[in-house]
Amino acid sequence: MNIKVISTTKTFNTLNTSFKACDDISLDINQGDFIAIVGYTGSGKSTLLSMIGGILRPTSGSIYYDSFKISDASESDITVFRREYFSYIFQHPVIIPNISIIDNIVMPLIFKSDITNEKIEEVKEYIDAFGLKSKENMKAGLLSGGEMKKVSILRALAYGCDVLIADEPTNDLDPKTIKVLVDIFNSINKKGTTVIMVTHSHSIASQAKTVYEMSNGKIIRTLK
Amino acid sequence: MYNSLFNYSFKIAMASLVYSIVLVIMFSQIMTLSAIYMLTWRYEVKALDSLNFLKYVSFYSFYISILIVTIGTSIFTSMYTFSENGRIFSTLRIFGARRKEIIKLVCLQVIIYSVLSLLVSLIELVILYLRYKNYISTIYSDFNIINSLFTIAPSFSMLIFIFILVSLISAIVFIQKDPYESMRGTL
Repeated sequence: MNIKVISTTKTFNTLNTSFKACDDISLDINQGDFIAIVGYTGSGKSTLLSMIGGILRPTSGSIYYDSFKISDASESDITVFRREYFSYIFQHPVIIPNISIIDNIVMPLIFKSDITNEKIEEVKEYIDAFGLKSKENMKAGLLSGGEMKKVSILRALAYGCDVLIADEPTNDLDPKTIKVLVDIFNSINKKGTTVIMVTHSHSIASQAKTVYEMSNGKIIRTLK
Repeated sequence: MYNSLFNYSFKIAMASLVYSIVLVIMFSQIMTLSAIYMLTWRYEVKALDSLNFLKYVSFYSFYISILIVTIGTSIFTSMYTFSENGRIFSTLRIFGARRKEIIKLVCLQVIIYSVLSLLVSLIELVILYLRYKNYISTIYSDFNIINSLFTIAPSFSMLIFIFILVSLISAIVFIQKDPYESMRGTL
């Protein structure tokens, strides 16, 4: 699936003010790309990522996923579209504290009707790779912040869609896990998954094929 | 096990263990009261002879009060479920769960509460029957006692139906809220 962002702007309105989080952004992302978006805090990276991921609608401009135009689509169509094509790693780990790690990872798959024995085995292999094997049946709320982040990453990897949206995925992680994660990103990208990642780390961003630098809601530089 | 939506509903319900216990106790007591009053209504003449209290309380107003408490409990359950699990539901919706699927998850949770309450209430009624068996035998025949099950059953059915229906309606209202509100700042 190719993604085309055309002159997209996102404005947030508050009671007295409004500000443009993204300002007239255009970019093309092809199936199998590995994109990194870097920039200072508040530069609009996460907003752009949310719009690309079909979570936020742009205020103006268009985003196309092949021929599917998100700005004209109904909420229901967008939901089904996200289910089919996108997987997400959130900036902060949003997990369900009172259920087990493995349930946290597998639960979103139930709506995709994609829970097979093979999938469970694959999830368990990922859990092992991230050093959580001994804790897979432990309640997720008992984990440390870094481990919760791992669970949120594992959930996205298990979901396994065409496009992986990752917002600062390496935050809170130790160097060893970061290396494992980068290797996994490269591995799934080679298999055809588009990876779109926001990061503050230039060394992580250097793994991507294309790096966009953002400032004040605009893309100010593209590195390939 | 991983494929069962019921399994996840149960786990979400158990995640709020204290609230679940309070709710089940409360709803089971409503059911028990309802059953006792249904039996009183069914055998009104005999009961009135023995229980002076019933001479001063209107049966119908009492039953309407039970229904109102049931409706209130049901609305509060939905409110609590959505406020406690808002981020869970938003996460699931971002991953592609539709509104009706989240409502299904919530309704399964309400059904679990209802079934547990029903079990508690039935156990309580059996205990009450065993405790007062000798007294009950003096005023009711065995046929009447067996027949009373046909009075209790619609009473329970009515309460459970109202509890689930009001929860369903409340869930449909609460699910209309901006699904990403609780996720802002996290993505």
